Amino acid sequence: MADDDADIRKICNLSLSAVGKWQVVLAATGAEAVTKAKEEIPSLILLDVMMPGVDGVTAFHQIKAIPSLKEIPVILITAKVQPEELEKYMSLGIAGVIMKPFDPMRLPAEIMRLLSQHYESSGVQSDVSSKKT
Amino acid sequence: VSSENKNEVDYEAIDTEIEAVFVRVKNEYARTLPKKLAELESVIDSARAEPDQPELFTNALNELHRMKGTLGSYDFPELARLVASVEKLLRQNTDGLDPKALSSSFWEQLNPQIAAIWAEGNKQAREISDSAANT
Repeated sequence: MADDDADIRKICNLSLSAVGKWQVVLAATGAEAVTKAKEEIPSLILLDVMMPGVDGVTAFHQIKAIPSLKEIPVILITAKVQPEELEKYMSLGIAGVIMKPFDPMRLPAEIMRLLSQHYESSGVQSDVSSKKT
Repeated sequence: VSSENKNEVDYEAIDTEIEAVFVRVKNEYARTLPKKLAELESVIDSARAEPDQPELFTNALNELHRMKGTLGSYDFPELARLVASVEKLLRQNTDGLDPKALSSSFWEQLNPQIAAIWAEGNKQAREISDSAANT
C-alpha cells in the first residue's frame, strides 16, 4: 500500500491488517511501491494517485511493465471524484478505485467488492486470500 | 468452557476491540491537529505572499486536497468539509488563471474560512484532550 501521507498509511495499515487480516507492506512513494512490489510479489497493490515524484498512475504503468507483477490487481486511492477521471483510470486496466475519505472499518470489504467485480469481468480467479498488500 | 466453545470466534468482541484501536488512533491524530493546521496555514500563506511562484500555489492546493482526504478518513467530517470548501474556492478562482491574477480581496475572503478551520480543529483537539482527562 503506497501513500505519501503517513497518517493515511497508518489508518490504512490498521484497517487492512486488523479488519482485513492481511499482511501489509507499506511504501511512502510510488518508486518505493514499485521496488517493494518486486521484492514482495503481493497479491494486491493499492496506490494513492497523488504522490510527489512517481505518482500512482506512473507507478501503475511501471508495475504493469514488470512481467512478475503484471497480473497483480492494482487499486488506486484518490480523493478526486470527477466521473471522467474515474473512467480514465478504469480504462488503464486498474482493478478499481477507492475514494478518500474511506471508512477504515469497511475498507477491506470495499476492496473485496472491487476485486470480485474485477475478476468477474476479466474471468480470472482471485488470489487475494493469503493476502499480502 | 467446552472445547466446542473454545473454538468459537467472538466476532462482535473482535469488532469492538478493533473499533477501540481506531478510536485511539483517531485521538492520537486529533492531538496533532493544531500542528497540522499550522502547517496547512503556512503553506497557504506562502502561496499568498509569493503569487509569482505558481509552485507554491500548487503546493497549497495539494496540501488542502491531501488533508481533506485524511481528515475524512479519520472521521472528522466537519473539518474535512471546511478544508474542502477552501480547496474548492482556490480551484474555482484559478481555473485557467494565473495565481498572480488573484486579488488581495480574494485572499481576504479566505481568512474567515481559515479561522473556521482553526476553530473546528481546536474544538476537536480539546474534546479529545478533555475526554482523555476524564478517563
